Amino acid sequence: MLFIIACRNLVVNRRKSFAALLSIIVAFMTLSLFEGYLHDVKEVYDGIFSKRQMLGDIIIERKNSPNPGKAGMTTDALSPDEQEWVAKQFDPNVVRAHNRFLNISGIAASGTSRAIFIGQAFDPDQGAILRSPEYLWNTFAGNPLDKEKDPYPLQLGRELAEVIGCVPTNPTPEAEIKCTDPIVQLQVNTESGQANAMDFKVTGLMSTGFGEMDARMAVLPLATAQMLFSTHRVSYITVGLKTRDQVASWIKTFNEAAARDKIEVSAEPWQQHTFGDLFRQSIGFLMVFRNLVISIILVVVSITTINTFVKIVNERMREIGTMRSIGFKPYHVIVMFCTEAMLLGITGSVIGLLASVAAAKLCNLSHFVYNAGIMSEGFVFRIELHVFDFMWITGLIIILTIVATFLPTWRATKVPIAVILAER
Amino acid sequence: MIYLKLGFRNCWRQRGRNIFVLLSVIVGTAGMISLGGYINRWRLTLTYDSIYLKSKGSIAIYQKDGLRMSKYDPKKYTFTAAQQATINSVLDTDKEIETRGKFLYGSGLASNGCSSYPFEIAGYDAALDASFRDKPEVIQWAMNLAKFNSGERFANFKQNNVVGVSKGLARSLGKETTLSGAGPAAPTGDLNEYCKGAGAKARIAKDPNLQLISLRMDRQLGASDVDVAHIYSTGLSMTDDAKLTAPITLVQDLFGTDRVSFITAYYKDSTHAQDKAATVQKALHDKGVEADVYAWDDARSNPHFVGTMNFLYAIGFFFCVLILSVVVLSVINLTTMNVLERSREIGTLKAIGFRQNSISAIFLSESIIIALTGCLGGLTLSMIGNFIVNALKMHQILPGAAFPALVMIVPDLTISFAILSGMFLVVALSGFLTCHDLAKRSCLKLLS
Repeated sequence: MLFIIACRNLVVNRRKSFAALLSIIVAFMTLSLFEGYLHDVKEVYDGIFSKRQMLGDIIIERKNSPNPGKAGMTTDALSPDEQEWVAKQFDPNVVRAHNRFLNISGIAASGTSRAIFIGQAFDPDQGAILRSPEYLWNTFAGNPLDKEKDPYPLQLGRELAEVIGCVPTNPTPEAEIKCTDPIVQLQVNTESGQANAMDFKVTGLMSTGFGEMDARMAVLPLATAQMLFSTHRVSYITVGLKTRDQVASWIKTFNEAAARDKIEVSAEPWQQHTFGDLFRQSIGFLMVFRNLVISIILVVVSITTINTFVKIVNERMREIGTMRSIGFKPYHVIVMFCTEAMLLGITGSVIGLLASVAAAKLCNLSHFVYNAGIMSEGFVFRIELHVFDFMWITGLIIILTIVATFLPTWRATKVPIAVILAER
Repeated sequence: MIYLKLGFRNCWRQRGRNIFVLLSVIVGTAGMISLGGYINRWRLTLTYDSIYLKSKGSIAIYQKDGLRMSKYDPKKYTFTAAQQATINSVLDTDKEIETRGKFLYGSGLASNGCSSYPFEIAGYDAALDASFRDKPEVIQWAMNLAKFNSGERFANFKQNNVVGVSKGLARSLGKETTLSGAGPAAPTGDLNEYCKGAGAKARIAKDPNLQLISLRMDRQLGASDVDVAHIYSTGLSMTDDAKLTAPITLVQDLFGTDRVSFITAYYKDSTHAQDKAATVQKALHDKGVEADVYAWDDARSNPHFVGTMNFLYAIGFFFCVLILSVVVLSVINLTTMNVLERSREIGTLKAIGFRQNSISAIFLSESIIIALTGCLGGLTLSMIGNFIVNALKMHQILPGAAFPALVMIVPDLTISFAILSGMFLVVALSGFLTCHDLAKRSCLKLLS
């Protein structure tokens, strides 16, 4: 019955509650839109690291590596026996793809141009699976390694390619590559410290999203790189699982197996690896903004709600007195008003949800591009709304409105009935 | 004057209700000023880092297309001694220039005697660098970006053949010890034993010595035996792999040249660097030197600063709009309730002869008083809040930085004034317009 009374009162006093309702709607929109933006930033980073750079979900490398992710062809890299052991841990029902990487570096020379390169070699076919679907075609000119038929293909980062003298023929995704000299020689030191060189054909131009990396990036198929560097080692292995929920348990099982079999390798999620430094720093930075703005918005909404309900309660003192005189206990009154506040919070949240969805759609349609510091390419401003956010924001707002209502209502129930009824 | 008096009196009389409006405005204003101050802190950090630590100078003078190409084709994209003299003569004419620097980029292979790795090297004036690191502004705002992981600055060493090694490259080379922390050099007669014998890893780690090999500008091989002065981090693992720094004299010796990749000029006030860059470029053109001159905040030469600040400003603006919306709604809500309760008062005023304009003027003065009080209260609250936050000495890492920096809130005067003005106008207007609209009702309606 109290619930029915609260519903009725909410409708009857809708004019008085209107501005409080508007504040709740704006607060809901603010919180949900910013959470949606944070989700999109996380997804963009996830797309860049997990797919574009083929880190998948998990990185496996030498345990306690002194240079995480950067092992060259030293004993810090994984030997063939270790790679074989790791490969045995991959259950095809759980693992979507796994990719072996070898860090490579040297000098790229073509005609009169020379530049250092620091890049990587990987298994092209597994890499394609890890990149799919968004980054399956990871070149803006030429072909990805897995599509290339040339026996000695080479992909170059955008800026390194320009230095070497290779440019796309046109700005379309189907562009071919035009080079001053089609053959690029990679001059390297092998695993045993000997000098070696091989000629390659530039078959693809790519962008990593980071200008600094694009200036030095060279990518080879793993087998070719191992031939060039006279090694069978790999620097690290990345794993993509079929479902992300299994990452923690998979890592635990893998690390336990490695300890049991005395294999000096370990697995961890890429977000916690050195590769994920930028991701963690960026999200941490945005969280400071989020927390500051949430605090301000919640304080202002609380003030508005408190004031609204102080007024509503004061105006309905006679009603409170009448209810108490016919047998309603003080807690009945408190519950009734708190229910009203809760319903106001829910109503505001529902309207806020609809408004947030509309605002998010508008933002996403606008395709507004902004620059984000060290990234060489702009980000498209998008908002990814999640149901869980709606739930916790609604819960927060309901708690806020209930708390804002509780005190004035409680104070009102302390006034003797006779005093309330005698005042009018 | 009468309206102002009435406004004050009404504000005081309605203080129980107006306190909520004031609280909304105070919290909103304080929040926006603090947000602006937080962004400004990072602007100051990145500004001093860019100008003094990242070699942007107030302006940087490159050969045409040298910004992109000087690392890869030094012979074509560097300034000869004669061109440097011309550039210096142009810079001499500007008395606002405090000092200038010269830099040389190159690349090659670095070896620890056992294995070698490619590097990109930046040579600069060691004494000038030391003076920049001791600058009060750099110490105050960019200390975290001026730190080394280990070791000391070049100027602390008498010898010229010292280098700074990026963290990733140091790890690849197995180097852990810098010159100042090194013991007596290990004998390296038998290279095989040195590299592969028992304790090789520890031996290499303790030895600060490196060999640098490069292709000189006369196409001959050049080499230098150097010691590690310091190990530093660029802040990102992707750029830590292959960076070296060194005194410019070492780099010039290594590449057998007296050329430089670019020259920087440092003004007392870098605010108008864009204009200065255009002026210097034209002056050089007139003297026959075709150069690209970039201001320190040019997106082409300093994309990190421009991109990061654009992002922070966009986020800050977005939040200010949101906070302002919530505050304005609060003000409208609370003002509406106030005015509705004062319907009889307004009706009485109208009944005794007050015109609509007069009543509006009273409400306007009330709105102005509330807005002004709220803004000043917000300013005071933000100053208190900023003091507390700054006193807490919390730390945070800026994306792309190697070390955490103090979380500080340092409001910029111009932005704070803009926030206060904006908030004042918005609150005063929204309060006034709400009252003005509601007060337009007929006398009879107001009194009944």
